[in-house]
Amino acid sequence: MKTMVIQIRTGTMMNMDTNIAMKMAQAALEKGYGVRIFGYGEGVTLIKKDQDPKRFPNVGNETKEMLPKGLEVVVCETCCKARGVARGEEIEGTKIGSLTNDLSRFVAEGDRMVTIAR
Amino acid sequence: MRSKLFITMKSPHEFGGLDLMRSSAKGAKSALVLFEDAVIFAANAKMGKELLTAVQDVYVMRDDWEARGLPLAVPEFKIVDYPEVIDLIMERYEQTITV
Amino acid sequence: MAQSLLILVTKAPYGFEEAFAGLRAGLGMLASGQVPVSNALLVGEGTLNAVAAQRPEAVRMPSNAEAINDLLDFEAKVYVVREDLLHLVGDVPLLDGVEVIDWERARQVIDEHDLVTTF
Repeated sequence: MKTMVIQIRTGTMMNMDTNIAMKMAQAALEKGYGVRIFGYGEGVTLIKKDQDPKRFPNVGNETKEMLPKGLEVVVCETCCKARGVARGEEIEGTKIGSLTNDLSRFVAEGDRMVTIAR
Repeated sequence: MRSKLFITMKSPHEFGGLDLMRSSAKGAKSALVLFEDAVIFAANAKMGKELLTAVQDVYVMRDDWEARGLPLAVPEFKIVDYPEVIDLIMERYEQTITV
Repeated sequence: MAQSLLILVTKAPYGFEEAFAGLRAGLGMLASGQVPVSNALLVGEGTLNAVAAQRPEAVRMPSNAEAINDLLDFEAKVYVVREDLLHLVGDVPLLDGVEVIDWERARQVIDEHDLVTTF
């Protein structure tokens, strides 16, 4: 199974970037590809639980729905600390990890990498 | 040379990736996918055609384009949905580069 | 399965976190031992990350020059596209150890990597 790595560096409510990442992930999973998302910089906000953007798409809920379908989501711990995002605030099933342990594994096992950033 | 699929989410006003695409894609099979405000390129023939001087094909994300209600001013551009974009990324191009 | 990741740096230093984050990502790949090759290619305004005279302490930011030197210490290549630098700011002195190349070589560099990520 080929795997797509999505590296996302924009915050969930900055623009529609995270929504694009979610739609790509969904479409790739439906086609039978592996999908791994690494949140870096502002991208760490993706894994915050209890997101409630009212009328906008809820990427937190979308993430939760895709986890049982094989989506793996890890965000950068250093970036979390910089933004005051603490362990325990992440959506269950996502992980606060690191470049060295997690992004490197995603890259080593990845077939394509999509960078969602400005 | 490895084939290259560029992607951008930037509006024409924000976009500065033309030279990078042109320089890095020279001699390779190449295409660009427009997401979000980048779909505005599709509504302006002059700006849109300039993209085709750097890459061979330009794809426009359908939902972003439909949401904005804009005309398609560059007939060479192809409107695509997410499953097609996944094919482009995973099967039809070897490298994906965000610009 | 990827053996190599190219960090394509397009952003100038200090205005955005991006360039620093990219250089650190490259370092993370090499430190992990899981990705054997991770080099950086500085293009456009990203070439300014290699300017020798930068003084990040003036804005109390971590040093992008140091981030480049850390990559070089891990035996990564840090390439700077000459045309882009000259076009922007002229022929300014660059950090020791970076490799100044033209676009023809830069295309080969991009081709030599399995994956590319833009910062």
